[in-house]
Amino acid sequence: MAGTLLQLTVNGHPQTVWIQDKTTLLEVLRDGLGFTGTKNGCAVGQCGTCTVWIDGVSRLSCITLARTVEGRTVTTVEGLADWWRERHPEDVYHPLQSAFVAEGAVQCGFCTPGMTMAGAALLQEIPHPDREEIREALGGHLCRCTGYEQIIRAVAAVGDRGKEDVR
Amino acid sequence: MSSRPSFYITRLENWVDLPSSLGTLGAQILAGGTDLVPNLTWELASPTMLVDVMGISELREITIDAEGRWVIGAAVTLSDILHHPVLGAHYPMLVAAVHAVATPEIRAQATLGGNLCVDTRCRFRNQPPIWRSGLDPCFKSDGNRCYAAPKSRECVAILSSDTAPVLIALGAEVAVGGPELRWVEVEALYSGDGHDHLTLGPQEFVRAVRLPRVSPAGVFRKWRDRATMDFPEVDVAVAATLDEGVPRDIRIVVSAVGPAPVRISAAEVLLDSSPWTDAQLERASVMAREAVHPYDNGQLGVIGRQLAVRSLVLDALTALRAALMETGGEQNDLGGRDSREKGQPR
Ligand SMILES: Cc1cc2nc3c(=O)[nH]c(=O)nc-3n(C[C@H](O)[C@H](O)[C@H](O)COP(=O)(O)OP(=O)(O)OC[C@H]3O[C@@H](n4cnc5c(N)ncnc54)[C@H](O)[C@@H]3O)c2cc1C
Ligand code: SF4
Ligand code: FES
Ligand code: FES
Repeated sequence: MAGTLLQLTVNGHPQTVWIQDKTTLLEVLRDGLGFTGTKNGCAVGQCGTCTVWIDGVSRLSCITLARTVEGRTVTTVEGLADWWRERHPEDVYHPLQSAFVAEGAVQCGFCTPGMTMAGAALLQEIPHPDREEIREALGGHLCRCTGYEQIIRAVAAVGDRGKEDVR
Repeated sequence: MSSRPSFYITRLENWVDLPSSLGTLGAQILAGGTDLVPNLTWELASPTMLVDVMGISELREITIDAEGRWVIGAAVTLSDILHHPVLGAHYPMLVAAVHAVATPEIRAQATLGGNLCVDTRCRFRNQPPIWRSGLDPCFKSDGNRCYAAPKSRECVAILSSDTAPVLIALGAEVAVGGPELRWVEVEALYSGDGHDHLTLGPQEFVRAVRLPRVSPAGVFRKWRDRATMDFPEVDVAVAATLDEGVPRDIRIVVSAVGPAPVRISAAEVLLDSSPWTDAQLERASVMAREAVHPYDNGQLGVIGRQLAVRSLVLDALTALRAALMETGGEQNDLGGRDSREKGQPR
């Protein structure tokens, strides 16, 4: 049996899971560890709903074999607010999560975990992104409900806050 | 959990070990996995062992060789290429092609070697297993027919690598590792058979890509359905070097219309020997359309793709002419090599 123990850190906590070599990171997160916030939209890289951070970089967990992230640090949508609070204890949520609510960027919500992880990663890299940069960063994310406009506005609203960089 | 067939993963740290690992029956390279993992999930590939090359540091370097040529390791990621501080300024056409591949998340994981070796695609095959269960296996699934080209005796699935046409236009070379190292032109990497589309031997792999010391001027164009994430329906890359006001080493490459990129030699000869007037560029683009025969295995129709070949080649050549005239200075119209006639003024 092509099985091994996989160790990785998810949302700040070390985890050890028994996996097969063919298991994807998405399957580990959802089926193995119960982080079902990360969605399985297509399983083949075409929709963006499974986006998580691997060592801080926005990646698709459905096309990442779990064995290849041995020892790495994964952040899922469940860990986004905690991750933000470590840097900004006064806040409850990541400002992008609040902006999604304020701008009406969530309808059915299926794309939201992927959109927020990609949007928050963009704000890390470019604190005040313009519209084109937002569209580019979210280009691999499908939304069947909102028509995208509200989502783009939510990311832009956080970038526009001006006061401090979203880092 | 998916019904993905089982396999072992072997992670290597030294490329010297690659040929023997690849010699194992059923072994296949795993680079970024952005092509291979979806194919495993849809049961389009059935390796028994994946050889993970992402830990091989030699494959992950971008270096300059003794003769001043840039060498990009096969496992360098597409986003590493985009983020490189100077490479992009020297090879803007390569950057354009890399940027046109997939999405930011995928580019953070996908590699240049994986892009060159990406499996061929076809709308009759790149579908979930339940979709395919309604069709008997085609050539690429070890069956005995082709749905895209019923009269064809081999698979005509599409090579969708965006970097391949550009690297061919640039005159780049590939280091093929294996029992012995050999350097080949990028063009020589492709067999033309969609089922077994690479010319690599069983123990061979792409080790690196070497760019020419000085980049020719070049233009890349990609036509696809959704500009944010789709595979190409037609790719065009054109390049030339200006020599005393005359374009030389003209390369016109059309790709994503079959299992291998196609050089439009007739059009290259035409533009090598005559001035780059509007009419000649138009003729060259018609030659391109006549030279390629897409089948109905892309997402967009055959006629649309044929027309796109013509208009993309024309657009790319027009942009290339403008770029060449800019570098050649105000006085230099583009003349042909033999005629030395005056070319098309701006
Ligand atoms: C939604 C989506 C959109 C995409 N859009 C595009 C697109 O627009 N254009 C495009 O070109 N591609 C596209 N791709 C395909 C793929 O992401 C890219 O081609 C990528 O560059 C493949 O690189 P990789 O490192 O992930 O390859 P892998 O998946 O690791 O490997 C691909 C193939 O190449 C072989 N291989 C890998 N490295 C080597 C090597 N060094 N030597 C020999 N063989 C090797 C593997 O065995 C495998 O067969 C898309 C993929 C998805 C999921
Ligand atoms: S081109 Fe023909 S043989 Fe190849 S995958 Fe498509 S239908 Fe199958
Ligand atoms: S589930 Fe990963 S991209 Fe769709
Ligand atoms: S809110 Fe429903 S898919 Fe985006």
